[in-house]
Amino acid sequence: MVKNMEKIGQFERKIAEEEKIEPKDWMPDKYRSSLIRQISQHAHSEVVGQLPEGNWITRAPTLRRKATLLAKVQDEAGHGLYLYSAAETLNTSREEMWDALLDGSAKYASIFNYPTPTWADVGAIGWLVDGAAIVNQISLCRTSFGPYARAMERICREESFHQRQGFEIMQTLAKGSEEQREMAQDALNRWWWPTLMMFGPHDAHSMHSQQSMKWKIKRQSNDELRQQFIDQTVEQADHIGLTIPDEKLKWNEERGHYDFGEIDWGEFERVLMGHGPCNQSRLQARQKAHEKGAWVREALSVYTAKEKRGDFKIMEREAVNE
Amino acid sequence: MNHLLKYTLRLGDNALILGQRMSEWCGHGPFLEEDIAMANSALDYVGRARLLYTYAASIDSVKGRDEDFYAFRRDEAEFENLQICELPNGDYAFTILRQFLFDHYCVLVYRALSRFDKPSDQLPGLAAKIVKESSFHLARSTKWVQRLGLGTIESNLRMKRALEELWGYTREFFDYDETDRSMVSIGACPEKEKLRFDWSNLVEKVLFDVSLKLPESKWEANGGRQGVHTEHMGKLLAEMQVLQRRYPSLSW
Ligand SMILES: [Fe+2]
Ligand SMILES: [Fe+2]
Repeated sequence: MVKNMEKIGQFERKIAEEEKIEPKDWMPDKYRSSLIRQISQHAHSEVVGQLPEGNWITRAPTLRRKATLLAKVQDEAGHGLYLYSAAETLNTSREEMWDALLDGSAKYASIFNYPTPTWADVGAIGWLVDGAAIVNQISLCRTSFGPYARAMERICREESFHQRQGFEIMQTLAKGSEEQREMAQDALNRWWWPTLMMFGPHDAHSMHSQQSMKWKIKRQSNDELRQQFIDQTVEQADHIGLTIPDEKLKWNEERGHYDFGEIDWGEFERVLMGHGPCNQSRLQARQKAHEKGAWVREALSVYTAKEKRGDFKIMEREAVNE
Repeated sequence: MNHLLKYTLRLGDNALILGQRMSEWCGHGPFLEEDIAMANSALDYVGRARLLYTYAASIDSVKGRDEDFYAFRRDEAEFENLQICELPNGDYAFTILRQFLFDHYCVLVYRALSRFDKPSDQLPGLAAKIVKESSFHLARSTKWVQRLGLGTIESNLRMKRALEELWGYTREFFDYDETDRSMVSIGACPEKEKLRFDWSNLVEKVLFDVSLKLPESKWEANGGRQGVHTEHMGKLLAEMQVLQRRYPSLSW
């Protein structure tokens, strides 16, 4: 009992002094499970996030855009990989996390349950969704768990590329023909509100927030981060002459921030509960890839085991003798 | 069209069309690491097409063309890629085996091109870069052929089936025409029989070692070099070119 108190004391001292918690350190079970939940959700978001933009790789309008988009979607898979590895340091396995994604018990960012009907959606996702992800992730670079913080630093560097590329696509469309401009504005109209929802419920209604803030897993509240994103994005939209679809959006001199309209929390809940336009197809795409890949993974593991046992050396010798 | 331009465009078409197929795997690979690796190779192929098309534009007698012109504003019959590149991906065995057969062809063809003695020209240097890339691809696809060939009964069976389907298309590698012969004559392309010998040598050895027998079928694909394609090509282009066709002459 005394020993336990000592451990808790040490853990809390580290948190207070901004020392990182490392996988070998003692940590409360709840801290561990919160992190596993958050990091694996984050990882799932990266790999499900491949799908909406992946929808346009084969149809990108120029070879430069095709190459950049392919590289971007590949980066997202890489982010998934770093994050699964970070989560694995907490004694869970990729298989376990992957199974939870496939059976629908684990969550991923709801934003990826919206469709990408036009090319402008690729621009809007890069600009807004990656933009929002950066705001969140920069904050997470200071998270208390070492491997998560380090994964975030690596990821943030790539995300800012993504954001710039997305913005550039939107800028090009906004400067283009009437049809292109409309395409860009329409994408902004569709992605704006779901992007704001990415930061989660208001602080007062956020289930996991308080404890996470206390443990410094989260460093800034949902509402703070959302405000930060809005403040920086309004100017960017102005710059390229697109209109943010919020009539209440207005600079508030006193607060030093933009005021904005209320999010449709009903929609937020619906998509979260699985009733968004693409919840089913995103999950199915992941399940299908997993099922279709089963024999490949099986062959790989059997081959690797045989190789370890030295089976192939014997074969080589026999071949020489023949 | 002069032979050098035609030859360059054919190489570019091979790279783009196969790259397009490979990119379809992105987000749908059998596991995460392989998803990333396949996307990486696809990126190499698309990048290669861009280099070759840009070079082609520089020697095209019609001025003002660029990489996107060749990729998005030509019709099916103007694409002169080998048919093997345009076939749908099939299962992972088909995909991997096609890469293996084609990577080896690339190594040999680009190696000859890299030795093309025309110092003022950028093409040999470009080809040398591609040889390096292709050797890496070949090492990777060879390893996968071994894994799937020697892995499980199912993976071996799938490889057998893939080989049956693909073999006739590899005959097109050696279906030389005037353009190839002209490139051979300036030392920029391997002699047909030499290519056949070198390619078969390695390919047959690797396949033999993983207990895959060469198919007996005598069917041979032909016509890719003359713009004759399988039924899959039109759909591939319709998808790839949709925006440029729908909204001509805009910037993206
Ligand atoms: Fe990402
Ligand atoms: Fe990203």
